[in-house]
This record gives sequence, structure tokens and C-alpha cells, in this order.
Amino acid sequence: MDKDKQNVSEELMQIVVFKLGEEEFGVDILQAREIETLDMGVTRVPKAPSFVEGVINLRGEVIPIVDMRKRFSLTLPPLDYNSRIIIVEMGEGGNKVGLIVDTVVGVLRIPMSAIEPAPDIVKSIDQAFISGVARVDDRLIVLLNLERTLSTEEVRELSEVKLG
Amino acid sequence: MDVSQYLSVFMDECQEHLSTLNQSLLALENEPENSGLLDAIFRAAHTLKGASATMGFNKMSNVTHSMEDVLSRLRSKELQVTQEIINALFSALDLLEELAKGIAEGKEEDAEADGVIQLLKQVASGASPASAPAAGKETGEERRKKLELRYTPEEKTELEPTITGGYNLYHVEVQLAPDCVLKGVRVFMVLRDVQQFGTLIKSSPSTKDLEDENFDDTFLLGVLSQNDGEELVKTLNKIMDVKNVKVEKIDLDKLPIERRETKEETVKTAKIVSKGDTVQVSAKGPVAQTVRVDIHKLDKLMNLLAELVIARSRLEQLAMDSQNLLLAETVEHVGRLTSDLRDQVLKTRMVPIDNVFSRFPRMVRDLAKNLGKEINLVIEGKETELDRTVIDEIGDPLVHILRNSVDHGIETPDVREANGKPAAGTVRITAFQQGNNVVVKIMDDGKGIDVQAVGEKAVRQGLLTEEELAEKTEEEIINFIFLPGFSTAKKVSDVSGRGVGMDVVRTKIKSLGGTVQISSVFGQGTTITITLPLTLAIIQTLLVKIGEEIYAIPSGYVDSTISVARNDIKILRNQEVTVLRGQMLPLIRLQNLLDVSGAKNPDYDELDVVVISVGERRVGYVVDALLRQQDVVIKSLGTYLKDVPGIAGATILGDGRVALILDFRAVA
Repeated sequence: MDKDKQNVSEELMQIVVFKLGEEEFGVDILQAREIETLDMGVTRVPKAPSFVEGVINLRGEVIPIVDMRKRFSLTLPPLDYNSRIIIVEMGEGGNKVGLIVDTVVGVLRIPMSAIEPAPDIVKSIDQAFISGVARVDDRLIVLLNLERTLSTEEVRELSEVKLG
Repeated sequence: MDVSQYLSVFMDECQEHLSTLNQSLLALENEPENSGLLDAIFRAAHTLKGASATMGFNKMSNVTHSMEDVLSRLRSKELQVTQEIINALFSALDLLEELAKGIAEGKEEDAEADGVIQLLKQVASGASPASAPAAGKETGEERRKKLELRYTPEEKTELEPTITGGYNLYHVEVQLAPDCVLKGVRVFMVLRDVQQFGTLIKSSPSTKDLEDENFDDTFLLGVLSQNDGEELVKTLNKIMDVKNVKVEKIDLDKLPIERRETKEETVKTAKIVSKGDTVQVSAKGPVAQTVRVDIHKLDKLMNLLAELVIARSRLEQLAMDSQNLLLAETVEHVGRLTSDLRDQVLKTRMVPIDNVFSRFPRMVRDLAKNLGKEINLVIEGKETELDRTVIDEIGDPLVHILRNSVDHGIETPDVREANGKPAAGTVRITAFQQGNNVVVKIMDDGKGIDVQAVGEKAVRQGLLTEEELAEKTEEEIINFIFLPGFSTAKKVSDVSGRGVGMDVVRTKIKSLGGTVQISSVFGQGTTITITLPLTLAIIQTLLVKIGEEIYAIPSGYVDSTISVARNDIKILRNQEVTVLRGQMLPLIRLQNLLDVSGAKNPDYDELDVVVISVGERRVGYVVDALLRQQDVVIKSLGTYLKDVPGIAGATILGDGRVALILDFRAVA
């Protein structure tokens, strides 16, 4: 984390907050492009990592969709009309990826000072995927490191571990 | 003056002239007497000199200036073309290429030029007794290309029955007025009349050059006709701007053959170069009219077109649903226009493969000289066109293969003669279009691949056991060459044989959506066949349905579609097979391969099967239904899903659904 920024307590960060089950997560709003409903057809991609739900046609662009619940191996009730796709851009090339989440809560401004390094309390998710935790009032929002979370490299390693 | 904005134009021109220099020099080496070549070389050097001086690249302009000195002496016949001079010119060319490369990379002109300039001065003066350099001297007569019509022996054989059967062969010489403005139009009129009179079988220069106005004012036509030649003279003389028409009847036994012996004959018929009028051969040479366009603009155009193609499919779908005839007609029309537009846009991106091939003669010449080998390089089909993106990528792999052929394939002259082969080896590069693909073959008549040695090496490297080796076919064994770190060359040379290479070649070609195959007869030569897609953006596919899912199969892979009765399926070693055209065809249910649930074909009595051929191999893939052929725009799945096996990309169908494009390369 940039030290200068931490010192300036007024500095705010905007995050898109969403829920997976009861837990709240956030991604930097600069990475989020748009939010879509789930009613568009998803084309399954055979042999893709299991958490890749498939690809969608987003106004002429073919975009892979990741089910975040499967990504974190959460067992949760099925998707419903509240479910959304958050289109995010990641990596240097700005590759678009859609994240399926249970509900989108909204956009939140949080002071940088409210962000702490990931503590052990977040049990359900691999520490590597977390860039920090924001405490806002009595809420605890897990900030995701999307590059890591969605990295296929990581996936390969994980699947290799599983095979071993 | 700030010239940076002109730099890219300069670089483009520079490349063009360097490539002209290269080709013409090579040709000059074989035909030292050809003054047309000298002119071309001179023009290229001269233009380059001017351009580089304007841009402030002094070294380049100095080198070209020195080249010019040598060349103008050659043109004025003060010097004879010797090997020494050719070599000096070649080293100057190398230097120019190096300088150009430096400029392109934004570096100053690093390369050392003085040595080469000295060398050029030496050859310019040393061998020349006469003093005054006569640049720009009257060289008109030399510039004139000889007009003559010659026939190959095969053509003569073909002509024989026609001529003995009552037809006359006329050589018609047409001279246009020197001030004729619309030469192309006049040519067109002449050709039209000639074709009414008889059959045009040959012309000098070629009809294309004629139509492009690439000739002075006189041209020669070979015409077969039953009519009297004088009639033609009368007709043609009526055309405006036709100054003179001569018709000569050619007897079969006097037919000019493309051989030295009959030269006198042909010179007689071809001795028609007009005398009086001053020569104004344009300095531009046979260059097609072009506009330079930024490649990014073409890419953008292509993307827009891709959107249009998708929108068209959507429109077609809607029209089909609406049952409105007028709408359907209009949509069909739009569809045709889109197809035409697509073809044209694709064409603008097409570049002749000559762009890659043109550097090979020089390369092979140099390699052969270094290695003490004699090699005839034959290039065929250099006009074959490929998408720009493919052209940019294909150069290195081809160079590699060619180097392999020259270094490892072709033997030294003494070895060849001892084996009863001609001392000079032949490397033949052929390019041609085959459906939606372009095939490039590189054949040599060298020593071929020692399959046994490859096999032994594979065993030594621990790739497989002796027992496994015994079960492999020759083709499979040869394919070990494509594995990383595999080389059979006993001696590591500067050129190749370090065990890197063929794997890189294959990876590159695969990444372009192409395939490579090797076949070889030990002792007789090797043929490497590369198949490349014409374009990377839009492909024709066959849409198939499996369960509720739709997949697109590139038509390039589809051998045929067949219907197989359930009774005709046998099980052989746990594998479903059927017989197709007398051969065993393994059947694979795509639903299993793609983990599709809910496929219906297990219940069918007749199965729809798409037969895929990759190389020599054929496999039948069972689907639920064949939907239709459709042009689709390939969309990448993005870097995120780039490694998914068996999927080449995705496309968007008319109803907005995404369909995946299957990739069968891995099947081979």
C-alpha cells in the first residue's frame, strides 16, 4: 500500500459493494465497468475452470463470466432475480470479466484509513485473494484483489495441488 | 526541417526500393547483359539517394551515390558487369539495409559506411579505362525492352494441330501515336477487335501490362485466326491513335521457340522498335497505382465490418421470423452487399506472399556460397495473397525451414554427383490457394530425413522405448522433429542444427491457425507443407447442435457431412467406428468430448456425422443436428480463457447467443 496515501486521512476510496451469501465484498470502483442483470444467455465453455460459468455477449463483446460463489467454493442458495453480473476490468490489457454475485448493495465511499490489512477473521476465503478489509461502522467489507482472485495461473496451481 | 512525420513514408519507400535492388541485382547476376535490370537498379538507387538526402540520412545518401557512380558506368558500357561488381553492389545493399534498420529503430545511422563506399569507388574506377563518368547519358535504346513473342516447345505442340487445321498464326505489331493519351483505352479497343477477328494467344508485353499502360507505344500480339490478316490491319487502322499496324503470318516451322538457337528468327519478327521518336520510358516502372493506408485504419474497418456481419445475421433472423417477403428480399440484398463488402475489405488487407518470398533468393544465394553448395531456388505462386497479419508472422518460420533445406537438405555437389544426382540441388517454394487456405510447400531434392536416425535419437532422448518406436509409423517418427530440443544434424553449424527451430516453427504456425506437415523420402528429399488460413478475422463455419448448445466448426476442417445408420456402427477396441469410402472412420460423440448434457443423438437411428480431416487423419464427430453454413466473426475468448483446449474462439449468432468455435488442430 502506498504510504503517502495512508497518511492523508481524508483520501477516499469508492468501492462497489456486493454480497455473496451474508458476507460483504468490495471491488475498487475504478475497476468496475457496469452492472448487468443475469437474464442474458450464458454459453457454457467446456473444459474451462469450474468456476467459469461461461461467456456472454455484452453488446458485441464476448466476455467470460465467473461465478464468485464457486470461485470461493461457497455453498449457497441458487441464483435468483437479485443476482447480478459486475463487469470488471483487470490486468494491464483491461480484460473484461463478469462476476456473478448474489446482490449488489451499492457504492460506498470509505476513507483509506478505514482499510486494514486482511485479518484472520475472514475464514471462508483464501488470504491471497484479499487486498484488505474495510471497517465501516459495524460492517466489515472484504476488498478483493481481482487480479489474484481471477488469475488463471492461480487456478492452475490450485488444480495441480488438488490433483497431487 | 522536421522530417519525422515523413519518416514512416520514407521507411516504406525505402523497403520497396531495397527489395527492388535485391531482386534486380540477383537477376543481373544471371543476366549481366540485361540493361533493363540495370535501369531498374539505377532508378532504385537514385530515388533512394534523393529520399535519404532529403531526410538528412547522409550515410545512406553517400552509399547510394557511390552505387550510382558504378551503375552509370555500367549503363554507359564503360564497365562490364563482373562478379566483383555484383558483390560490391550486394555489400552496399547490405549496408543500406542495416542503415535502414537503424533508422527504423530510431537510432542514428550507426553502421560503418566508408569501407563499402571505398569498395564501390574501387570497382567504379579500377576496372574502367575510360574516365568521364557519363551519368544520365542517352540510354534510350537500352531502355527499350525487346518486343518479341516466343513459344515454349509445349506451346508449339499445342498450336500444331490448330495451325495445320486451317488456322493462321499472325504476329500483329501495333504502334500507337507517341502522343496518345489514353493508351489503355486504345489497347482495349485493339484487343476487342483482335478478339473478334481471332483468338489472342500471346502478347508482348503481357495484356496486364498493356492494360496498365506499361509499354512504350508499340506492342506485339500473337493471334490465331482463319481470316485474312489484311482484314485485321484495316480494322485496327480505324482505331484512333493507332499509327501503324503490321501483320506477319508465322509458319509453324518458323515459330520462334524460347531457345537461343532460334534467336535470329525471333529478332527478325521482333525488330520493330520504333526509331525516330524520342524515348520517354517513364521512370516509375511497372508499379501498380496504390494509396498508402495506415494498417490500423484497415483493422478498424475490419472491426466495423465484423459488427456489420453480426448485425446482418441478426437481421436475417428477424426477417425469417417476420415472414415479410419484401423485408426478406431487402435483407437478402443487404446480405449480398455485406458479403461483397467483406470480400473487398479482406482484399485490401491482402498482400502478395512475395513480400516474404522476395528476400529468399538472396538468402539462399549467400547460404549456398558459404556452404559451397549449388542451389537452384525455384519460387512459384509468389502472387498468392494472404492477410497482412499472417504475412507479418510467416516470414521467420519460412526462413527457418529454408535454411534447414539448404544447410541439411541439399548435399554438397560432390556428394550429390556421387549419388547420381545433378550437382546443383533444387529448392522449390510453391504457394497456392486452396479453398479458404493458402498452402506453402517447401521441397528440396536433398538427402531427406533419416527416419531411423530420428527414431534412434528419440529413444536416446528418452522420448519413448524401442518397443514403442517399433509401433510408430514413419510419419509419426518424423514428427519428433517438431519436439523442442530435437535435432538430427550431426554437425552443429552456424546455420541451423542446434536443436531449436522446428518446434518454434510449429508453434508459430499453430498460433496462426495453420498446420505443418513433413514428408520425406530418405535420399531423395523433403517436403514441408504449411497450410495457413487466408484471414484471421472472418471464417466460414458449419453450425451444429448438440443438446441445447450450438457450436461452430470451421469449414476448413470439414471433409464432409454424412449420415450413419446406427447399424453401421461397430465397436473396435472400445471405439465406435464406421466405414467411409472403404476406410475405417473413428466416431467420436462430441457431447462426450465437450461434456454436453442432454444430447439426443443416442436415441437416433440415423446419426449426423461431421467428418473432420486434419492432415491425413479423418475423424467423424457425431452431433445432434447440422444447422447451416455461416460466416462468423471470430471473437477471442480473451486472455482470461485463452488456454481452454479445443476452443478456437467464440462468435455471436444472429439471435445474440454466443457460440463457441471448435478447434480441431489438436486432434491431429
